[in-house]
Amino acid sequence: MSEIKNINTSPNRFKIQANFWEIYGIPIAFTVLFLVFSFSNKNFFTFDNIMNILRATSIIAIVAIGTTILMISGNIDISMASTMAVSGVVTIGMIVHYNINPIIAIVCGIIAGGIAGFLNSLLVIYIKIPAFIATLATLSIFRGLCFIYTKGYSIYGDQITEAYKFIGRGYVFKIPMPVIIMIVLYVIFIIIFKYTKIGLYTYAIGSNERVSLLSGVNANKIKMLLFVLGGVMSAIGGIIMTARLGSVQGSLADGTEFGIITAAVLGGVSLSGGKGVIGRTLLGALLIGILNNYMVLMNISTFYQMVTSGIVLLFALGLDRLKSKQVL
Amino acid sequence: MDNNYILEIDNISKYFPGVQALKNVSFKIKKNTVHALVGENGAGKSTLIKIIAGVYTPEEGEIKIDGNIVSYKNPADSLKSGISTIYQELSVVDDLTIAQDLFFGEESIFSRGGFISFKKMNNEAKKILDNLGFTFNVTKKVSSLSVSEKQQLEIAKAVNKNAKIILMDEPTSALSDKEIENLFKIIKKLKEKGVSIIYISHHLDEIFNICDYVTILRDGMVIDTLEVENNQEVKDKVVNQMIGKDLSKIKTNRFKKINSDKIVLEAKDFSTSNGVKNVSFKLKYGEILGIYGTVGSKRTELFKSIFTGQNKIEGQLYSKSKLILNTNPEKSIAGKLGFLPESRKEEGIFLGLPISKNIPFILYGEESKLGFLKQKKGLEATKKYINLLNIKTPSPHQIVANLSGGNQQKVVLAKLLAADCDILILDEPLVGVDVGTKNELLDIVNDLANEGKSIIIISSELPELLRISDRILIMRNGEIIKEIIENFDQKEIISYAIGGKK
Repeated sequence: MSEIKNINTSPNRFKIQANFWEIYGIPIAFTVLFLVFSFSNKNFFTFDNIMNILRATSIIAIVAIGTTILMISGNIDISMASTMAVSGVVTIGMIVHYNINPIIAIVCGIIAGGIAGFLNSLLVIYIKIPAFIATLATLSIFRGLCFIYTKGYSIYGDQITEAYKFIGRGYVFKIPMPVIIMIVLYVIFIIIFKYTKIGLYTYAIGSNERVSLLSGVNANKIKMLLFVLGGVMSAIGGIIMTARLGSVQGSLADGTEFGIITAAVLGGVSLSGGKGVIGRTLLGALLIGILNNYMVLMNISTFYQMVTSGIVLLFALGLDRLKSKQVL
Repeated sequence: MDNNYILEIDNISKYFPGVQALKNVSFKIKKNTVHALVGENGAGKSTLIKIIAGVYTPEEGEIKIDGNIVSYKNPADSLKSGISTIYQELSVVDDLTIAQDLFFGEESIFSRGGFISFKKMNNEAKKILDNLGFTFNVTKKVSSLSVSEKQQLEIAKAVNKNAKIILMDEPTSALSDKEIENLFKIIKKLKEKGVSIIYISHHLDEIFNICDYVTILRDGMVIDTLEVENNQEVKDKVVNQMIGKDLSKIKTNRFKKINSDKIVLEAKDFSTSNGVKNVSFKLKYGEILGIYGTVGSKRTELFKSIFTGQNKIEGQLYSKSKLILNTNPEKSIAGKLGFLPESRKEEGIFLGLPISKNIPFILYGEESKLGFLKQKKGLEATKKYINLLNIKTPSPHQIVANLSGGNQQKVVLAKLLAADCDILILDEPLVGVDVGTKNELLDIVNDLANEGKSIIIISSELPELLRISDRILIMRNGEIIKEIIENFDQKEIISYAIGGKK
């Protein structure tokens, strides 16, 4: 027994402190910022503004689920904003240009996202291109295809019904529809990643792919599944975005990859894989959400917002690198 | 005073946490000789090499070169004093040309105003290689060379650095017979040039072929230094000294003759691309089959290939009399065949995950309901093995990286045991485990076999292997050279393994 006590106290004190910030750092930062913002601007802590923040965050938070699960496995997909556009263009294109039932169009849009993820997985798994570079290339390809199809114009029309727009604009019991979708997806993925083989294997591959192979895991199958799920999450985000806008253009969601990755990293997903909790990504997304919202309320120009976002991402990454060092 | 010795090792001791790796080691190496260093796995050879090469610093004792005391802070110091080491893993850079690799780190001697004259470098490289009798095209990439040619390149590098002593660690382990012959010619040439060689090998016949002196290490101590004479008497003496006298009578509590006709695993003419040659064996139901062989005997390569399906080039594999064509770890585990890898940290364990995810990992894969993990069962298994193997941890949810090395090893073993496989292949399960746990592990293995599991246990620790096995296969150079069914004699087994007996 005495030895067990030893492990608990002296030599690990440093690690326990590191763990403290790892676990509570972001929640504390979120709480502090939330309180400061609430007291410094009376328009911040109101029901409508909170719903605004949630709605503005929801799309990023949904797509960040895909980014989180990929990053836990030690992979990454930076083509997600382009995939969002592909799904948006497919869905709206089918509805407006071909008069196809919106439900079928949405299903096709989601399948398109899944195919985009599947293509990424082939590049990464079989051609063995590093995920960052492979998806940097497809980022450009997918985006280009969207511009080619839309010829640079918006697609809109009466075929886009109110029912379709409800996905992005509607409310149920005063809660925005995108927020409800976000919550449902988070609940599903938190359960999958906590209680199923897919979750266990994702963490295992991110922790040590060789060990997982020797332990009988078909790592390629799991990675493929994760890329496809990532594509599907992007598709859902992209479709919600078109529903909110009531139209689509080739540049849909351009630049959102930034906030998505920041949310995942702020949530504690490690760049080196094996670590991260899906629920915390939501907290990361909300942290960015309140920052952006506050700057709008204070009339700070978007140029400053860009600088701030960059600093927040560097902060989150720096935190991750420092943590990794302590493990060694 | 005229000094006959190029290298003197004087009273060196080295401690690692919990073990004394070297105890007052002393020996001298004469100028212009080839001096062999032999000992069983774990006798302290690697530690000694690393001390001479400047990788480790000894706690006690001194090293003298040409009569002068030297102290090494890092490998560069050792290199500067004239010692070059050629490790089993060759340190050549595949993407450089042969000339560039030969002068790696010394490019500045061919530099003029910051530009390197590759023409000069190539000419100089050709000169050095010609001098040694190597005929390489120096402008070709290193990657185009065979293993033995890469080794020759390393020797050339050592000569170029004016090495007075060249350490060769198991230099023949990846060479064919003809290449070995060639290496011996090179060694003789080096001797003529005034270079002394420290030759580490498990192969007695090589030592008696090329070496002038042999120093025998056992349990971190120098047992003796002998002048090599090629006769059976000296050979027997070396073998005796390697294993010690008291060990030839070992208590054996198994050695059951397994009469069952049920063969659970069979290999026929199994060969791999990394050195296993035409191996055939049968594993019976409920049997513990011991595998003994020195480093380089390809025992790990054989069983890893059986489990993973990788590197196999020929042969058939039958599991429970069913022919297995293409296998991979996933299929092996589905077929209830489990493998405990030798390198635990790299291949056996998820350092970043908690114990409660590591131990039931394979179990979770085998048994899940609609993909949902049976977490209750998993946690029960975790607790059971923490108790059974006495894993020291504050909680089952502790991250494995925070455990000590020995406890991490136990987690790897627990992970395999919890998987409930019918056939277990354990590669060096006793390495790094303290004596008490060793006995516990052997008891567990014994119980498993009595319960009807069939077990292959690969170990360098002969006394333990003798204690637990029903039958022992001895491997050497990728082949099974002897099957021992009864009258287990430790000396005889080692003789077979190192080639003192054929």
